[in-house]
Amino acid sequence: MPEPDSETLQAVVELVRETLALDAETPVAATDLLFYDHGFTSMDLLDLLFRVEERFGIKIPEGTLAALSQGNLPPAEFQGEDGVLTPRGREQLMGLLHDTPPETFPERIHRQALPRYCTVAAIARLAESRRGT
Amino acid sequence: MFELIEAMRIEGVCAEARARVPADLPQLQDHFPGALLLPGTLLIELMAQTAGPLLEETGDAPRWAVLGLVRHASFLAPTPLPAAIELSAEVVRREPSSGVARTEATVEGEVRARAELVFSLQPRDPAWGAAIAARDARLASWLAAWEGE
Repeated sequence: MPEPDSETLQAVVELVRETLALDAETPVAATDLLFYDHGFTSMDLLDLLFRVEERFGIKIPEGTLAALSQGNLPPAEFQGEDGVLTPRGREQLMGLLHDTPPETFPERIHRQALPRYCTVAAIARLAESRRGT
Repeated sequence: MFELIEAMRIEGVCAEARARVPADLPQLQDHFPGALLLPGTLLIELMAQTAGPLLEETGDAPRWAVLGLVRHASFLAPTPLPAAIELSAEVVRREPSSGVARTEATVEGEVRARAELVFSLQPRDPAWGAAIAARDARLASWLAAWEGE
């Protein structure tokens, strides 16, 4: 996914603030990790994604991040039967979330846990990738 | 603890329910003395008790709906007690692990509250066996009561 334009990024920063009821002085940076730096829960993420959908008039169905990470990789090469990403799948995820520090990714990543590794900018990129879909 | 729904109907992606809240519930006597009002949070609870089973019943696999977010909630008018409340819910979004329902609570034809409720849809853990059995029995009695009306 290409880098988001500054307008989209700024909008997502504001939506992160709204989701967590943060005041305007609380810093929210493009490279902040939602779960690690801002204490997001899975419900906070859902709340943020709903706000992003409403703000940009898009839909982000569950599994979008996994689908983008998988790309053209056959399902069996992306994840095992237990839902844990294969080394190739992990590599593709790390490529997609290139602004997340590599040390953040554990060796075993379950498909359902992918949003845990998103930065603010990754959500902005996700929003832009869904435009026109 | 707060089982006030008396009857429910589920059809497709919509549910309707009827609840009756008496004026003598001990926990509501100080809200407010001499002018009893149903707290908005409990109105939301009744709306969730309508939307939760709807989402559980409309999926492909058995799920346990746990309220996670209350969005766009408006309390349009107070609800004095006692009250006969008509509840409605419509599924507006269904994902494998979450669901969203638009809900309303109406009294005497007037909408008193509306909200969009977001539920986490969790697999039915066998550890919750007793709770699930109670839920199934409660829903069956609500559905039967609607049929019997």
